[in-house]
Amino acid sequence: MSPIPKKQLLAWLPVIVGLLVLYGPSLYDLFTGIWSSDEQMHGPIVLGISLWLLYRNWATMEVAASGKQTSAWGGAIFVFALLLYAVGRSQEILFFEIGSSVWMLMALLLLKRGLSALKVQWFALFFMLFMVPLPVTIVDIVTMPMKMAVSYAAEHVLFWAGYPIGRSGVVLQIGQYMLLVADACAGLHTLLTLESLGLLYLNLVRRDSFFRNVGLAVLIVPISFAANVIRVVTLSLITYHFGDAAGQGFLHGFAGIVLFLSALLLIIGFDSGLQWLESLRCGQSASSSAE
Amino acid sequence: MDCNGLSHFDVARVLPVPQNEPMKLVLKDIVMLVSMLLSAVLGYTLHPRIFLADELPPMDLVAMVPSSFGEWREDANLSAQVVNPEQQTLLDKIYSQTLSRSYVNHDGYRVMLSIAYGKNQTKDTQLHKPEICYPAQGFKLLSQKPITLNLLGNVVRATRLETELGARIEPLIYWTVEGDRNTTTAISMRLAELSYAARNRIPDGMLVRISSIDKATDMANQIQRDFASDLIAAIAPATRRRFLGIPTND
Repeated sequence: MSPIPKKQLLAWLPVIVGLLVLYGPSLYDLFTGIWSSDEQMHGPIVLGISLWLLYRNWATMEVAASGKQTSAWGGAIFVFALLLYAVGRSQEILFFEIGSSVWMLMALLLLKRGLSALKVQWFALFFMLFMVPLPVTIVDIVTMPMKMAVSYAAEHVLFWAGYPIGRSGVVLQIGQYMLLVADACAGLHTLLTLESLGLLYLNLVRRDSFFRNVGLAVLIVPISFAANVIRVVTLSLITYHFGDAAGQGFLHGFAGIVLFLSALLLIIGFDSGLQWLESLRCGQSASSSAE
Repeated sequence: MDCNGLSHFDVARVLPVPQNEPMKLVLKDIVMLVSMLLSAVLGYTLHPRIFLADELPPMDLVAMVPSSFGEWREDANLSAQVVNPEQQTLLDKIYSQTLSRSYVNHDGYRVMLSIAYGKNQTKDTQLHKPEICYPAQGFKLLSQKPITLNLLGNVVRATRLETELGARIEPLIYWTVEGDRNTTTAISMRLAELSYAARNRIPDGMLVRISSIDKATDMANQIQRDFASDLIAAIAPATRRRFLGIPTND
């Protein structure tokens, strides 16, 4: 059964129409523009998951918000979101244009249902931040050191494994092959995709333990890095053993899947590790209190 | 009510919309909808639509940049070998025109000139700066510093880079022009775009890069500066300002 009754849907109709007029064209531009590129593949996935999270928590939100005052802060945020949108849309600043949607939804929840409703939906809105395209300048600044670090780590892993490997900047040479670590292989967007994946895992698993939540959220950064190294190593090995065509062909896509699978496995592995640590610690404190 | 086991309090929880103030709610919704529509209209109408380049004579880099000037002659055999640290597909997507030439002087010193021109300076098609795209293609960035060039009495703010790829040391200078301004940072570029947008204009952009493969980087820099002066002097005065970023109202 839908958690949103028809009668409520009618009350939200003006807002829904407004949102469609504002963000319909934006979404069209995104889907026909940057979201169709390899680097920003996570955008539509994040949007879909955010909307699903909003929908899933809707009934809980209504219960939490019932009988509560709506918040006047919503008005101020609403105006801010509208200005941000107008500037972003007209000047093609996607960071503002798409970023305004998060502020807009926040304002709408405050205006229609109040602060307690926002508290229920905060994660869905926070999660939406991951779909906001970052300014090119920021992406460029962060991407280069990451690519260097990933290349460096991949070189050392392969060297220890006894492969004939050399590196100059972000160019790896394995056997007779030269591999250039591209943006898509080690970029900020991969990090963001994996970070969002990790946060979603945390939210879905719903740990009560603060220690495990914070621990894992922080660990996701090195996990993303490790996953990227695994991907570059995998690609290097594919190229070395099966040739250049294989490395650039369908196996390139395979390496992308390796990236996500290894990240997911690492996340689950670390989570179990943290759980074990916690049980150890709790066991100790339990036994020490018993003494 | 009682049969369902629901108290009056529970009903209130299920129906959170206060039933006694429907008018106020509707008014609020209408105000919100109107503001949203207004913002959408603003976003649409404030968007610049006229290309600055369309109001100027067409840009033709090959015709505007002479193949010989001062002590420099184009070495046609080598021009094909000017390394562009970005893939051709990306270059074609970003820029409307690119010019890559190798010049040689009577001493046999070689200088590579690369000019990239884009008609549309907006988000996806912005100029790609050498300090980003050289390292992206495997070059090491050894140093980077802002410099000023004096080209025919015009002060041009430029950047000096030293790059390395294996045994190849490639020092270079470059500057960028957006519309009729000599922009340097990403922020100054964005501000230039905004001020053009206020006049319903989309600026064009140009990146001029002069490089040579030379370990003696200070000497290379001096030669590149001289080359830049000779180059600008050789370009017809009418189009010169578009290569330098001199405001037309000067």
